[in-house]
Amino acid sequence: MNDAPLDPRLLMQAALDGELDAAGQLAFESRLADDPVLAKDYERLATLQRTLRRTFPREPAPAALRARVSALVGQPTASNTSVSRRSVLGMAAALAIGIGLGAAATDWALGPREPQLIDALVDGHRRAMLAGTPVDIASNDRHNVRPWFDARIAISPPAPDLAAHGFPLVGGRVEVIDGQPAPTLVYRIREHYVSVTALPTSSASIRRAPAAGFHVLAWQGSGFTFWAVSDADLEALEQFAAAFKAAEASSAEPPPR
Amino acid sequence: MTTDSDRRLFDEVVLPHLDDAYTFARWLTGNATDAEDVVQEACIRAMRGAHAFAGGSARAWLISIVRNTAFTWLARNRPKTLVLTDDLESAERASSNMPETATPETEAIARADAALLEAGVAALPAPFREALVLREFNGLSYREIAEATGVPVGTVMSRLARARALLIERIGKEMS
Repeated sequence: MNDAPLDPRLLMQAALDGELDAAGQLAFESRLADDPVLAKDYERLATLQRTLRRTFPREPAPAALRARVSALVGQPTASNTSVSRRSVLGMAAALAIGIGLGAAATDWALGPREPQLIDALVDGHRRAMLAGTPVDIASNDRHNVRPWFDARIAISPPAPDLAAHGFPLVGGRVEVIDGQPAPTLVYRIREHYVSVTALPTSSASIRRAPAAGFHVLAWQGSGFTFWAVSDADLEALEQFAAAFKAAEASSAEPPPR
Repeated sequence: MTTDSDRRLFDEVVLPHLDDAYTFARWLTGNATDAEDVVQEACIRAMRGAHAFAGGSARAWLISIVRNTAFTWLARNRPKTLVLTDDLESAERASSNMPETATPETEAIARADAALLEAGVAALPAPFREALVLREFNGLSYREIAEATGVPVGTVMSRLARARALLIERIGKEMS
């Protein structure tokens, strides 16, 4: 301790937290012995500290979190600079898309931006599923979901009611794609979730892409390109997309301005 | 760019402090699910920035990343819970001239239950809360807290004093 007189309230913290050197601690203890009011205050602080620590013992990080985090670095390093953003499956997904491209380039003709876009979409879907919170607003009523998007990010994509087709609406969340907030609807396909992200229409030429455990489908309507990501099987996802397209077209919503 | 040395650094610098990262995130976000999200995102950021780690306390470095991540994560996902930076200064001023009210007996403090304590910690202004959490639940030294939160050691000390005084005052009120 230096010679500057220290506010006794601060000195008490330092003593309590073992931050005083031996000489400072000695001086403090002799001060406590002479000053019953200070001693009482100090006792309160010490009791608070003991009580807090006893009441909230350290909780280790959940094993599942540790496993996920370890997996982030457990993978062989790829040369891609953005690899660190992806989880294990994300990396595998990127790989699968890459291989698929080579095998059937005519079928998918991806634009230069789109592999990253798909990674971002798959990442977002995966993160939402892993976190156990697939939606920020949970509602099976599109009349709740749309205003929520509108109020939050001033974009409100069509959210057709597909319950009759066996695809109930679960809710919505906001993804950040390319630095922009993007409304994402979440539906159920049997026991699977499907995330449908509405992006301003681009010249999306991709129709579908397999991605290790996930399928990605894109279609256009109402001035948006809809990107659906799900681990449901492709056939079910295509049925979903067809139902979505049909319902959305028939509701004849005006394109967003 | 992820290199082998980045990964080694991640293994040596980040993973050993995962429990601390989680504990801290748990108190910042207020629930386990959000905490896992924040920690996962923080680890991704840490991995990207591992080469920038310039020594010092690895734990404080990771905690500072968790702190920044939690801030942006909360802003994005839980905007209502976010305390704006402006509030921090006024909170600090407001509580500096806190009136001395009836202080509880030590027995009352010892009897305070988890719900009361948790609510008390959660209600603290953010800068006081993070100093207290890092000290009591993460066991960081003043120097580490200063490093992790970017303030001088003297400020850490006064924030701890305020945090503890506010908690004791609250216990006094609730248990009288």
